[in-house]
Amino acid sequence: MSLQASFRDQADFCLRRPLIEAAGLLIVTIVVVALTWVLRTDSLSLRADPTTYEMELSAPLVDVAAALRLFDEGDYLFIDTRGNAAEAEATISGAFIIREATFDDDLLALMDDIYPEDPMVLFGNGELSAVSNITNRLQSRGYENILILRTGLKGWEKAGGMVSPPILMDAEEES
Amino acid sequence: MSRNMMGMLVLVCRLVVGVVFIFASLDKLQNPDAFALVIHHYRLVPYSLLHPFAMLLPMLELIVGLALVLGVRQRGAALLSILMNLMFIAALSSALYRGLDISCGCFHTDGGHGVGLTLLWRDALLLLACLPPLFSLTLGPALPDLFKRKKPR
Repeated sequence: MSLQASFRDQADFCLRRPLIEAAGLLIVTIVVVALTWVLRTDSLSLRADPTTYEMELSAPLVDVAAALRLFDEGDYLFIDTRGNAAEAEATISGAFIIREATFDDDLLALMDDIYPEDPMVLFGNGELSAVSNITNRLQSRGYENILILRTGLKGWEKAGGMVSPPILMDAEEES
Repeated sequence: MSRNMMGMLVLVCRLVVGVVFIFASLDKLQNPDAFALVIHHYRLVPYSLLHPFAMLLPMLELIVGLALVLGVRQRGAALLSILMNLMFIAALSSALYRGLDISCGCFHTDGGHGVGLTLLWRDALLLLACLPPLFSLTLGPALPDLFKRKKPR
């Protein structure tokens, strides 16, 4: 048997066959789950309703109308937690940016702007668990007065809330 | 290592991993809503994928476990169990890194073990046990062998 044929057999044995078998098992799983989902009377809905898990979030939720009121009153800081917030075209006017991937750097850059006692509304792109992760981390640093905007920026824009280009902190502006 | 010994090692690994996966799936299959909550506690899966994930994962565990125990498509099952173990290790590590005080949801949806280093070791051992069934040339006895006709001499 040539070296090439031997190598081909090895690759077939170690990679191709397990992959094909795994794909087959995955398809069987999906079919069984689909059938179970159709037949079970107490099946979960396909899309989870965030309010079902609301109690599990790190901070209370606030809807757009209430957030607009808080914005007008001016007591609350708004924090954009979207991963691409710095590159985004618009965010809630005056919102600061704290992202999960650069949490420590972002918080350090805002040291003179936000304090643990400041009330704040965190928002993202509507994905509440992602915002909740950042809320957790802020709470562990002593920031206690936090609300989470239920609908994220999309809901805010839809409700006619003010938006403007994001505020970039010094480090980001230099880079 | 002789062929018989290797076959025995593969069989033991298959049975251990298979039984663990089957046992792990039962409570989750009965309580998908509670399992969805357990997954949610990790804060890694978006809401749009939470319920499909909570329904798919336990069924995949059951089917992979059965495949390993019965010896049907066992190398594909070993590959899937390696991938699942890697996913579990990543989720546990992430929860530990973020300091989340949550139950792991490995076997029971109502409490159970909190996330910790012990669980990481256990998953790492399970992952190692999946390697012989995937890479060994001998696969050990399997259910389909019972139905194969013996060739006349």
